Amino acid sequence: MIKKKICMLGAFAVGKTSLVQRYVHSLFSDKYHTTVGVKIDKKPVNINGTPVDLILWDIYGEDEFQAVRSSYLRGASGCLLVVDGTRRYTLDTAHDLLKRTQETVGNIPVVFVFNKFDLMDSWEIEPIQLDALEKQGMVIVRTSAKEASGVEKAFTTLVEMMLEE
Amino acid sequence: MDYPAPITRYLLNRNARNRHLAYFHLDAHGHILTFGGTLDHYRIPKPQKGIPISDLLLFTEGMLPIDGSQMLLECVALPGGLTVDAHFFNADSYLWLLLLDAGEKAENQRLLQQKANELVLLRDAHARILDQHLGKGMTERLLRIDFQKGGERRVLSALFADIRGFTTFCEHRPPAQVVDMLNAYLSAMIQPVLGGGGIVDKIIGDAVMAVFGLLPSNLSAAGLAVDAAREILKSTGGLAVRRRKAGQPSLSVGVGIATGPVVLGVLGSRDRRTLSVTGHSVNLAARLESRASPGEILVDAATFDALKRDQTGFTARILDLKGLDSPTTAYGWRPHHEH
Repeated sequence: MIKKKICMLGAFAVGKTSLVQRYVHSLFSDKYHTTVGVKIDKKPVNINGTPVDLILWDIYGEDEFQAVRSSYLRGASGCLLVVDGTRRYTLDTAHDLLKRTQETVGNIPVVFVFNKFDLMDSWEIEPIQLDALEKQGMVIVRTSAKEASGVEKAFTTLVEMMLEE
Repeated sequence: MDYPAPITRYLLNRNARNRHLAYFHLDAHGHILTFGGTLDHYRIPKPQKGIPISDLLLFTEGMLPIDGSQMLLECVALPGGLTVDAHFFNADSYLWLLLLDAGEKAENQRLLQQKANELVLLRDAHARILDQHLGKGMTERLLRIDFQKGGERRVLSALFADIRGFTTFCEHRPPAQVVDMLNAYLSAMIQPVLGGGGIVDKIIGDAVMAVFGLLPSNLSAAGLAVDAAREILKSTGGLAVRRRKAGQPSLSVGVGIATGPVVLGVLGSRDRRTLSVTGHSVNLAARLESRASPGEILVDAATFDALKRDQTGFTARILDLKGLDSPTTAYGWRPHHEH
């Protein structure tokens, strides 16, 4: 069985844990619980006939006091960079993390996940910023962990990219 | 540095005991050679020798071999619910993996981190509310303006815009219709202010108070305020036409503008602070607005003088305004089609 490590990266409170909880356990909680260190989950999937064990690393959110340690990224085959659409600066954090990920593990497949799509009315990130990212060749997926929309697509898209590598 | 053996032994035993040391001795491929310590504490089943460590501990997948002589993964949550610090190190051509309980450390960190993150989220939420009130991105721009702590005096233009006849309109109307009407008109009044370089200072019922000259601009505060007022009349006029065509009630707006020195400051108590703009010209703008006819802009002499080449279409008149000792010269302007 192929095993693939996926790192969930992003600023704090963007919804990394909620996305994993939704994807692996079909659960969602509105209450915010900060992640300390890393929580690891496993999800067996079958992508286009290929069985894969996904090892999901839900890594603590980066904030002004602590940066993500590069040791957590070791061995990663892909990465979901999670952005909170209602907080503009979380996109800057995602860009910083992308740069550091590439410095640590090279050019592994990456998907930008714009979460909290259910709060679209409060979004600070403009459609033009998403278009600009796509024009740079980035893969983006809009998700709502709360409403379970786009979550499966985000992970499946990343795994497909990883399997093409 | 070498320490006497009893000290080293004491510290090692204390650490190993208090933090429930468990260990794995691994070959170069990450297969388990030996193991020991408190595996039960971590609810890790005793493994068969020779199996890959990644079959037992998910977090080691893809981690081996390590770069350099040692590596630390802090606060890894195990499936059993406990949190460990995982130390990897090379010794004598073999790899060791030590697990030390990090539950207490993680919990202390979690409490602090949760509090700090919630505070930042609260700050973000407040900034969003302010943005909705003042205009998108305005909070950030305002934060960059350096106000002196004790307040300061600046020359600004104050603008008041009010929906004429709204109080009468509200009588005997269903609340939903009143709110719908108010939102439609306030949007048509606020957008020109934000688009014209102004700041919405207050929304008072059916009236908007805005200030111009606070944000950096090459244009005069008075010129910006008058341009915004013209846009307000244009957008509310367009709204009225659309509403009439749809068989809905429509109203007009009157605007007052005055220019002069005002005192800027952050006022309020510890629990609630707000940016405050006070001064004679603010009162004067409110008085002028109350005397403006529906669909009219009424400005004071200072605003009119500052317009210089853009004074066309204004008509002077003398007004007795409440609270002022002597009559005041004001200048009225209406859109062309109403002249």
